[in-house]
Amino acid sequence: MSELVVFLVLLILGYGFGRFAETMSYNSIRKREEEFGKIILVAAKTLPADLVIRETFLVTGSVVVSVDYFKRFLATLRSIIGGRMISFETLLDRGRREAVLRMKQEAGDKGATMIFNVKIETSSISKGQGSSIGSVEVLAYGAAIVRGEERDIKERIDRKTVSTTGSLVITHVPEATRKKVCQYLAKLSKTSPEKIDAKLSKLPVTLAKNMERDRAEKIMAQLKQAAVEVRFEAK
Amino acid sequence: MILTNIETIPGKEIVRHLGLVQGSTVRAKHVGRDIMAGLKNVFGGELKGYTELLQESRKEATERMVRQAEAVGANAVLNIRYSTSSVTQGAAEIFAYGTAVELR
Repeated sequence: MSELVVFLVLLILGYGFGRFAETMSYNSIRKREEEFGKIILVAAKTLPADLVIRETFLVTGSVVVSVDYFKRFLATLRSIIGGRMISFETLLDRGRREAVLRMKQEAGDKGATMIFNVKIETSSISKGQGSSIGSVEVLAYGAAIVRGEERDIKERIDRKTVSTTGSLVITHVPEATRKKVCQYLAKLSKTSPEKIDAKLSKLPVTLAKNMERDRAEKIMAQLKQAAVEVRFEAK
Repeated sequence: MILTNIETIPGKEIVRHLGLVQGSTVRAKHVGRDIMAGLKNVFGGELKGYTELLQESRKEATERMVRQAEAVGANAVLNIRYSTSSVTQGAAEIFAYGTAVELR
């Protein structure tokens, strides 16, 4: 008799608290899913080629959830006749969404806007406890990506497709290295250093109107070593 | 040390492959937590004690993996995977593995 009372009490407790816990957690999950909706999840391994990445790191989110006594009882009944175990379906759904949200939270806190190669793993952690399949652990993890600025992307696209030629614009030459710079430029353009020197007296100076970008960059690197302020202007 | 579960990082070049590195840990829950979890099994909902325990063990497993990667001279671990399995009642094994590489 007393056993039956204990059973009924557990059943009622399980039903009441279980319902309450589930409603609360679903409310919170829905609210946060809206909040973190901006973070993009991708299950693909390869990143798009034009994506500019500032930083990447691993993010994880995990949760252990269990069903209540009432639902477990329902599941036991269900396993006699077979079919969908709705009580466990909601448990796993809740666990998975919660784990994903925790992963998103970690990514969002660190300023990431995308998570690549998302893996979700579920494991039962109460193996061997007879009928209590009750608690499952859900782990979600992925590579969070902090994107670089749009400006960087534009520059990269420019560089790739739009312009391959342009001119060098020198805006400043320090006195200390002026002589050396003149000699270097004279050698490149096959004129005398005096002519270059005269040109450089009126800044800014535009050089070489149809220079290949790769070549221009090599020259710019050399000039920058001599503390010359120079930029590349695409056509 | 860069940890990621994708295979390449754009803008970085893999200079050397240093093979598989791994870390694992087996943890048991203590009695107090077990009793609390037992109660939660009646009420349903999240078992916070277990969540924390597994997070700690995962961190530990990751650290062991990182230490192994450092030992072979890697500066990144790519393609990381986690797996969890319960060994006996009340104990879980957390296993982390990945490819150690040197990036530039």
